[in-house]
Amino acid sequence: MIAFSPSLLAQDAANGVFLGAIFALLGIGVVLIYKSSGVLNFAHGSMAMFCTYIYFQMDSWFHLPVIVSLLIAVACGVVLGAATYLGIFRRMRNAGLLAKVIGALAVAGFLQGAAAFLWRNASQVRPPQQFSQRVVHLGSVGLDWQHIGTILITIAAGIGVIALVKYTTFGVALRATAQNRLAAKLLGVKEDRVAALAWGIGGGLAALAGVLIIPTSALTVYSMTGYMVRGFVAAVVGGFVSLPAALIGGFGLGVAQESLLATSVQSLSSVFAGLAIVVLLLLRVERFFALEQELRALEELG
Amino acid sequence: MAKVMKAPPAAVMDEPILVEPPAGPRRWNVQRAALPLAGFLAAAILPPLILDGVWNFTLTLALIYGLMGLSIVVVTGYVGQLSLMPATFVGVGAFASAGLVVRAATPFWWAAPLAALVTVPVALVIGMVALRLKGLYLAIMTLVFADIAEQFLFRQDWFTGQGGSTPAPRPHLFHLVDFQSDKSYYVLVVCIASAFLLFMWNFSRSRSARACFAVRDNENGASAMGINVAKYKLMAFALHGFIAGSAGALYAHWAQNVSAGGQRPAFGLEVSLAIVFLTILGGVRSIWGPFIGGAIWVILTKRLLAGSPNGQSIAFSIFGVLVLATMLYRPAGLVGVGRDSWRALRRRLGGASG
Amino acid sequence: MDPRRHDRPRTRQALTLGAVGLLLSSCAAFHPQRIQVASRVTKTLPPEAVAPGSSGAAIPGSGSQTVFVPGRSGAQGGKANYASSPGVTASTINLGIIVPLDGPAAELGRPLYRATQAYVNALNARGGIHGRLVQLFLQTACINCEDENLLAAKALVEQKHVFAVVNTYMNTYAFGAAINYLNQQHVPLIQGWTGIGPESETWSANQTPWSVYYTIRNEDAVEVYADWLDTVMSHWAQAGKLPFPGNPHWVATVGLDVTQDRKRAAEFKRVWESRGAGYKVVTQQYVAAQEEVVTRMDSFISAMKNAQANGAFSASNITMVFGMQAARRNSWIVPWVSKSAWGKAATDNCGAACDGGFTDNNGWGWSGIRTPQMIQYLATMQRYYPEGATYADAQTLGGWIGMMAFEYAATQLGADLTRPALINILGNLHNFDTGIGAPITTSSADHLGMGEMMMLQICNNRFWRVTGWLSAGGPMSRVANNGDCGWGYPS
Repeated sequence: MIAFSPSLLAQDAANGVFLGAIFALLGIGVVLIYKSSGVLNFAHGSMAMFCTYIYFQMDSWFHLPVIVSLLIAVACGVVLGAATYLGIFRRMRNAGLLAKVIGALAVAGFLQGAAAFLWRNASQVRPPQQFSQRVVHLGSVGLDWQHIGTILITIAAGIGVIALVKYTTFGVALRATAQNRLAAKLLGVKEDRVAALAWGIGGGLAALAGVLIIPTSALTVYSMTGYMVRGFVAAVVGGFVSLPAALIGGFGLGVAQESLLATSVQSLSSVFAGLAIVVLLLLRVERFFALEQELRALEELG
Repeated sequence: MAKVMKAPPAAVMDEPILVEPPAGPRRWNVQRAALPLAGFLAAAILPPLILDGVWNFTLTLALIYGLMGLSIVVVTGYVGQLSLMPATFVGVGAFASAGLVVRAATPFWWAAPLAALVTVPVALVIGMVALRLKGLYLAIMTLVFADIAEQFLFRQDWFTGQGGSTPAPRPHLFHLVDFQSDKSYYVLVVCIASAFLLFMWNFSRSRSARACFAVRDNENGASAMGINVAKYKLMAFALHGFIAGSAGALYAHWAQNVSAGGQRPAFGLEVSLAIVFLTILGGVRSIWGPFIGGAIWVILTKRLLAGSPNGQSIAFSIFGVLVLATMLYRPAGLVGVGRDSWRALRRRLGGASG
Repeated sequence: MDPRRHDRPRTRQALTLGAVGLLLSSCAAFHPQRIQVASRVTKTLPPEAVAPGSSGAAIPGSGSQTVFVPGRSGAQGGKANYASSPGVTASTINLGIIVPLDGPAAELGRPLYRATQAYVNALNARGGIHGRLVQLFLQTACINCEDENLLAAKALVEQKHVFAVVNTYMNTYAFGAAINYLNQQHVPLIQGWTGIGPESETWSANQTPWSVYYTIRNEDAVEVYADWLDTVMSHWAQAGKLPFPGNPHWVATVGLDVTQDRKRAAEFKRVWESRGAGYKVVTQQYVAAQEEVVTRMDSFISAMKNAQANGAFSASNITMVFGMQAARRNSWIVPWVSKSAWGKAATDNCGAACDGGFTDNNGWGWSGIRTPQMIQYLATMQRYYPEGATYADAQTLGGWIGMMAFEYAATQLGADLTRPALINILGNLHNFDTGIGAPITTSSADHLGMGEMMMLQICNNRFWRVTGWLSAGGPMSRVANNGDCGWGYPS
């Protein structure tokens, strides 16, 4: 039987909800991007990192208020995402898997190199947090306002995106393209516009995630890689197609991962994400979430 | 709607990017062997004569990276299975060879092939996964496996040696020829790389290769035609492991030391991605592709830019752009570009004279 | 007409132009801040406030000492210099340096390179060593790339023909091949406490006859940490400030989940628990990744608190900085001792939460210690790298020590500057006092040479010297100081 200590568990689970919010934010962005273009965005973390550097630059150079810097960073994320699609992945709509994976990885590599060069004189910096660090105690558990703010923002963003996909024209077009590309095109759906918008939203969410989490540790070129991987796990929970599942999966992953710290098998915590993805992939989770048409369409996409 | 419909963007990888060589018995004659033989001799003799020790050392590394890329050509270029973990197999081969030589007193000539063979079962583990998962999911699994290897295997002292590193002395041949000098080791690596190239050239014209191509292009169709898809996938991963493991053994003895540890691992994701990128840049379906890509990668990042600050981040950015351009415009890589230019040149010359 | 043909040339041109533009602009944008090698003395160094040996700023040494102040020890003018060694001509000495200047490790490599370059510039400005000017050749290598480090070493030795290699920033795991190569080629490798390798493992005349690495042995350092923490905890116990008075000798350790931290923490546990019954390391926490140091730190701290530890040892600077913040949040107030909390990391990130924490003297540039050598260091850095002059940290100070040792040994040798003679001096120093680190005594059994360390305290965003030179097993006496935070417990 695995031993655990209840008081530690509560605090760890609370930390897990905070981290899970970041995973969920990233996971939702990844799902949107995948649904719209069939690309698993390996550059998601790099985009978040790049926009966080911009956030840092806005603050340290122009001394803009934190909220303004955050909005600018998120706007940069939107632009970066849309531009990446329009410049690169639009041409790869009919390409095979290799092109899409390598393309995304190449974008990631380029962004990392560019960030390392552009901000070569600013290493290990700490951009400012958006919320205060005063701790709020709920029973035996303590969370600071940054944690609480992040969780609330994520829930709002998640609900917003899900509503967007469910109720707006854009959402309908997105789901139509994902289910039957040819029919959607015949019906007049401009798939490039839909995809560009989806990539833009995904990029913006990535930037938001980066800006919320990185100020709690240190900003380096590799800061977001670990988080991106866990964002992928959240996306896999929904089979890459279900947004609500990605949202819940992200929170769940965070709680599970951190709760392990309170048990006697502490060291499993850092490999939990990897193990989760192995299990989820082998179980072919996407069968539970995607409609038959979506699966086939996605297979065609590559 | 007066807007003019723009032509759809170029479809990537629509056109055949390799003119499949005719299958059948390979014909050997002096004429056809002359050019490759001359090339081999030039590669083996010229650099030790013309260049200094450090450049020979660098070119050896380029060849070794080329060999690492060759393992990607087999598994991804020929059979279409995307592996993002070649560096893991390189690491296994490197530590295995060094360990055998230093701790089991095996001569290099046995240790290196054994190390490559040891890598094969490790690669077959992923091969088994490849039977069940396809495409993107397989790629993700290779990343996960690479990470697991990093966290566990490369941190075990029984595997990496005390303190995370093992020395790997240069081989000698019957106490007559010592490969201590960088030039001599270069010649040795040229010979071994050429042997692998010869094997791959042969293989690419065999019936097995045609089966591989069928699996790559249309797995369901191949299966319908009666091709044993599982067998070829496993074979692909076995070769992937073997070639990468050999490259690892050569690498270990090139550096005369292998180590793992520290905060960013030695055989981790960055190296794997570099290997995949350089193969794509060179041409993922051509046996020459990785060697061209490897030469560019090594010379650019490890020599030309090593004397200046920020050189490496610039190199990585440039490489990212080059790989993107390759995927978008010239999926056949530099080998394809060369082939097209050669053909265009011949046509122009032919047209001029005709 | 094939529409693709129509698109391609233009987009290809655009792409090529873009790449070329990037290359050109990048060339324009970076230039190493290298000052010309001056062939004539044009400026003298600012006068030192205190002569060495006076009681004001100098740290009292033990026994006979060689106090080295750069520029003071050798005669100028090259009489009958000749080319006595590879890399040495009548008028120049070639030195090589290998550092990472890219990626996260750039923040370590860059200060090291700049400090070394500044030292060389100042050295040349005062005429060099017996009239020979020093030329510094730079090779960059990523910190974990064994192949790059090895290539860099080879390029320096076989192409640039350097006389010696100084101040490499190394991760020993990835530098092993290069160290072996340098020792095989009989090229001296000299450096002060730079690098993050396990400091005790391979540095003796047996393993590395041609390399010296001036730092304190890991085992010795850990003993001093343990001794000091014990001393501090006993004061806390006397004042009744320990949170769990029933077990006054229980401590916890925390560090990053990397090999060197694990080794250090394991050694600490061994040393601590051998002090007697009741001495226990109740838990040892390892943080998986540097980026997650803060987001997870609360759970590690909670674990340490729940295990009823009355003191904390941090195997690495970053876990102390974020650990003390988390400890404050979790109301777990105990004494902290850490390895090398770098000045900048601590004061930029920590604030009041780190008040009272103790660390060793690698970050002493912040502490207000003003030996003549420290004054000279600050003046030189101000001249050549003003933006970095206001701080000193482990990299810059370690680099300074390496260069001081080189200048000293080379000056001793005069015209006959050879590699064996150089390493012979550097490997057999006796109480060599640089005024920057502990006095150095090397021998064939010990190519590290620093047996002592000083404890500093973080208080009000500054570092304060609170002890003299402490050695393993020696007395743990405190030096009076106004402005520091006493024994660290809240009043």
